[in-house]
Amino acid sequence: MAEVMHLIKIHASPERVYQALATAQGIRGWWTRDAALDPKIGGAGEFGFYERRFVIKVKIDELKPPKHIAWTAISSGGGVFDGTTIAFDLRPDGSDTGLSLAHRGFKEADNNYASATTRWGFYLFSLKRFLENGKGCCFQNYLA
Amino acid sequence: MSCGINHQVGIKSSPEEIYKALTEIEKLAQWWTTDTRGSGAKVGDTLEFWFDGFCQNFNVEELQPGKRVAWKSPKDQGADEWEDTEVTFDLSTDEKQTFIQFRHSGWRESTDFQGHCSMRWAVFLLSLKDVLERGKGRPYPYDLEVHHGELVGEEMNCETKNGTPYGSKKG
Repeated sequence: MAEVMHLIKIHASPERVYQALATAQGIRGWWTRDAALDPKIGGAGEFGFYERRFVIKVKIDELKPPKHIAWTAISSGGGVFDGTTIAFDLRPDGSDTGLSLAHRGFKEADNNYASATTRWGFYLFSLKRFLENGKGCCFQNYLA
Repeated sequence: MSCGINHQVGIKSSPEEIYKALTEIEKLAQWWTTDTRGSGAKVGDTLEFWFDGFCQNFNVEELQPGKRVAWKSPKDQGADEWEDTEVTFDLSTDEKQTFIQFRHSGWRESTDFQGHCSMRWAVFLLSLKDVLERGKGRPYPYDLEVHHGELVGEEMNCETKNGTPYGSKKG
C-alpha cells in the first residue's frame, strides 16, 4: 500500500482552513469549481475535472471542526482512487495552521499514485494562496 | 510503505533537455536553488545545493543519458533525515510529453519533515517543468514558501496552453 503525505503551513486560522476544506464554496476556490458537497457525516461529495471526464466521488466519514476531515473515495475516473481515504488534519501553529494531508490506500506505488502526490502538492499550494491572498488556482483556471 | 516520496510530472520537452536540467549545474540552478555548486555530470561527482547557510550534498550514483539520474545523500553532508536516502529521476515519453518519475526513497521513518519535503519536491518539480516549458523556474529563494506566511516567489502559473501545471493528460 502506498500513501500521499503532505504537510503545509498556512497563514490563516484553523477555522478558515476548515471552511475551505469542508464546504463546496471553499473547495471551488482552490481545487475545482465543479464541486458539490453535502457537508455532514455520511454526506456525498462530487468533484469534476476536464468537463466531467474525470469525476471524484467521496463520502464524508468524519468531521471535527476545526481539526479533522476524513473522506472515502467511492469512485473516480479509471478507478484510480477507488477505496482510498483522504484525511485532512489541522493544528494551530502560532497565527498559522499546519495542515497535513494523508491520502492512503493506493494498492501500489505506481504512476497514478505518484501523479496524485504531485497534484496534491499543487492544489495544497493553491489552497494556501486562496486563504492567504485570495489567489487560489483551481483546476479550471489552468485551461487556456 | 510510507517511507518514501513519489511524484510524477509530465513536461512538454525532450528527455535530452530534461536530462541536461538534472545534470548541468547552470540548469539545476534554474529550478532547485540558485546556489548550486559542484558537478552532476559524471558518476562519482558531488553536487552541492545551498540554501543560505545550509548545504545539501548529493553524490551522483547513476547516469543514463535521456533516461535516468540517481543521487545519494552522503553521511553528515546535509539534513540528518536525508542521510543515505536516494533521489532518482526516471524519464519516459509518450507522443505528447516526457514524464519524470521521481522517487526519494530510503527514509528511515515517516515524519512531519517528510510531509514537508513531499510538498517542497512538488514545488521544485513544477519549477523544473516551468523552466523547460516557459524558460523560467522558481528556484530557491524565489520558490513558493511552504512554511512562511508570505509568498516571496513568482505567481503560480494559472494559465497554460499545455493542459495543466502537472501534465498534459487528456488534453
